[in-house]
Order: sequence, then C-alpha cells, then structure tokens
Amino acid sequence: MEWNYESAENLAAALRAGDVTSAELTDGAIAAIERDDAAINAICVKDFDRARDAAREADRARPAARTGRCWAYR
Amino acid sequence: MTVKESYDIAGLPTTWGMPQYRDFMPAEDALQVSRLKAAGAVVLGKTNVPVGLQDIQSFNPLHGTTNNPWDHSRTSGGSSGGSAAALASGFGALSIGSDLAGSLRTPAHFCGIYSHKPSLGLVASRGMVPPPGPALPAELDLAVAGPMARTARDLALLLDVMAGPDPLTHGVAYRLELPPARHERLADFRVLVVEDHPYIPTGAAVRAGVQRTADALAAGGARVDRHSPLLPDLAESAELYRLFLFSGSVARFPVDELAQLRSRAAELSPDDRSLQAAVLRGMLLSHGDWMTANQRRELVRHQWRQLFAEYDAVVCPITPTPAFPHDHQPDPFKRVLDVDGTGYPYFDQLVWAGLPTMPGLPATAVPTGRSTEGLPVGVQLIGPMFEDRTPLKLAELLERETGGFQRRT
Repeated sequence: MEWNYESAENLAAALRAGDVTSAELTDGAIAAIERDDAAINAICVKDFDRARDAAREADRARPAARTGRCWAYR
Repeated sequence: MTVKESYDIAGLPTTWGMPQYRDFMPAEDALQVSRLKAAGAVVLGKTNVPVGLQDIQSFNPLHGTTNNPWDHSRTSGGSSGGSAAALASGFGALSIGSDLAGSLRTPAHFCGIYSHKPSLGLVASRGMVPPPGPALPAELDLAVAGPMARTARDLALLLDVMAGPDPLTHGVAYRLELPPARHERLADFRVLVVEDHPYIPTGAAVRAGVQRTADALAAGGARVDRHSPLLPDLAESAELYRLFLFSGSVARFPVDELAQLRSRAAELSPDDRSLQAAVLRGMLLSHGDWMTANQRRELVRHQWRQLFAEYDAVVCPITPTPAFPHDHQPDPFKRVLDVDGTGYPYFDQLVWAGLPTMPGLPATAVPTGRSTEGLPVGVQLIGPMFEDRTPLKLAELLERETGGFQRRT
C-alpha cells in the first residue's frame, strides 16, 4: 500500500487500526525523499536517524496512547 | 512531517539560508516543534527557504534552489517553498511554515497544496527567530507561524496543535477558545469574491481559478457577491502593508545606503502613492510615522469587522500568476513579473498576500485546479479575526467540489 500521499487524518486512523506502523510510514517517506528529492531539493536538512527512532518510540507507545490526542503518525 | 528551516530544532542548525550561520545550533526546540513532538509527530527533516526568508522563491547559498514539483524550471514559491514542494512530492503528510508576505500561501498556490495563515497572535512563534536568536516569546507584527497540508481537514487538525498562547507570556492568564465555524454547509455561507486590484492586474490563469471557486460556491448554494462597498480600499491597504513590511525588513536586516535612500525619499512628491514610494517611505519610517500608519491600520481593521458582519469570507487571488520561472537576479527590485505578457515590478505581486496580513486576518490557501499550462492555481479565503475555523471549514467544503490536492502523475 502506498501511504506517502495519504492525509494525516487517514494515517492516524490506519495507525490506530493497526494497518500500518509509524516505522513503516517513516521508512516509506524516507525512501521517497531519497528517490525523488534530488530533482526537487525540498528537504535541506535530513534528520532520518532521529525520525526512525521517534517512529519506533511512537509504535511502542501507541497502545497506551490510544485514548490521547494522537493524530500524527501515531 | 517536515519543518521549515527557520524553526529551531535542537541538534540541527538554524541558518535561515545565511552562510554566516551555517554552524549556529539552537539549544532548544521551537515551541511549535515541541508541541508537534508532544502530539506524536515524527520530524523527517527541515525544508528549504530563501536567504533570511526575504523572498517568495526558495534559494540560498547553503542549500541551493528548491524546484517546483510540477515544473522544475519554475519556483516552488517562498519563503515556505521547501515545505510546499515536500507536500506536493509526498514527503510527509504535514509541514509547518511561516508567513510575513505570503510565505505560507504563495508556495501553496504554486505547488497545489493547502496552507493556513492564522490570525495574528493565535500561534506562538518562540523559536522561529533569525539566527543567532535568542528565542524569546515575542509578539510579532504581520508575521505568523502556520500549518501546511494536502487536505483542508489536516490544516484544521494541525492548527489545533499549534494554536494557543506562549506559556511564558499570555498563557499565564489566557486560555484559547476559538469559536466554531459559522456554518457547516456551503449553502449557508455569504462570500465576497474579489479578483481585481488597483496596483497590478490578475492574470488569466488566476482569474480562471477565482471563477472556478465562485462557480463551486454558487453551485453549493452559497451567496456570492462580486462587489461590496464594505470592502476596505485596496490601494490604502496595499500602501499600509508596504510601509509596515519594509520598515520591519530594514529593522531586521539593515541596509547600508540609508543616506542615499533619504535623499531619494526627500525627492518624492507627497502625492506619490505608488508602491515604489511606499517601499522607500517604509524603509525610512520613524516611530512617529509608524504610529500614524498604525492608526490608519486600526481604521481598516474596523472596516473589516463591518464587512464580516455581512460576509463570512472573502475569496481573492494569492498572487497574480501561477509559479513563475526561477529568477535569481540578486537585486529583487530589478526583477520583473510577467503577467500575461506585460512586466510588473516583482514586489507588486505581494499586494494580495498583504491584504489580510496587514490587519492580521486569517487566510486559508486552497487549490482550485490547474492552468492550461498544467500549473496549480490557488486562491485564498480570508476570514474574520480569530474565526480561523470559518475559512478552514469553507476550504473543506470547497475541497469536495473542486477536487483539492492533485497528485502529479
């Protein structure tokens, strides 16, 4: 499934439903940047290692966070 | 998601595209970055900007030029041009930018995505400051931080995370309570559509975008007017905006030739109401002049309050044309914007962005489809002060009619 063009609203729903993990979404976005940004040059400072760490942390925290305000990649 | 380069993120440099600050490392996350992380956002990186955020294209000596995803020979817009290009390219679902001269809205218009310029003062800006800082909880004039996304509803979700006073200042005493949108159905909206400006013509591609929006509103049953005596004088608004914009710009980024500017200003006729004269006067504005201009601004704000008693939103262009070809002429006063074959001074295209910025009104940039050349065309929906949810809801309702963000295939 291609997630890179989904809305944050739909991503949050997919994460809550367990259809995808934050780590998978993050890896997909990083792959798109590495593939396509050479021609666009939108991302001037990459922070991929910390993004992957934050995604894994979000995946670990999700069951506990289900009732919170958790819309973004969570 | 991504974050505009101009926001502090601990562990990454904040340069605003200025080579002398290539190693400037802020100690803390900007307040907005903290709020995003607390809400669970994963930050992929920072997005490109023009030098000092002082342009509506995004290129600088440190990070090069951001291209428009729809046509690489054209600009993505600026100053939040990296963020808009990232969203149009599928790099993250959300981004945050800022807007002083259309910097949220122009890149959205050029790249076919959504952005929202919040009401002045609604979104705390601490940690969005030119290096070398310091990151103070200052109340800015004109400039705002705001959300960018591929859907209108995502803008509203992101604004909910961003909005609210800085806990160091107004947050001590004030709690945020934004009113809901005035209406839930297109048929209940009362909208004024404006497409002509006294200082610069609107090109055919943007006119067509305004028309598509007006048609969608009318098809949905909204009340659509094309003229109203309640609209504040556009020339007065453009002149005031110039004074504030260039006075602030020179205060932040001093110019070397003040004596020369003074002698040129002394030669201006008092009757010269051109935008070029307003630039010069703005650069030399004294504090007393600023107070006088600010009083004129309060009158315009009062006129807008009266307008918004009769209307819920004003639809108008963001700039007169879709994305233009890269133009790196070092002196922006020598650049020329081509509007359907006629050249106009580059900065004159800012008049539409300045219309809500000068009084501090919220404005949502929405895609309306593409030009005959295949370039995205956006318009802005200006709303009543602190009623940000009203233009955001209108953007959401229009999205169903006009198709919203289109992925480039």
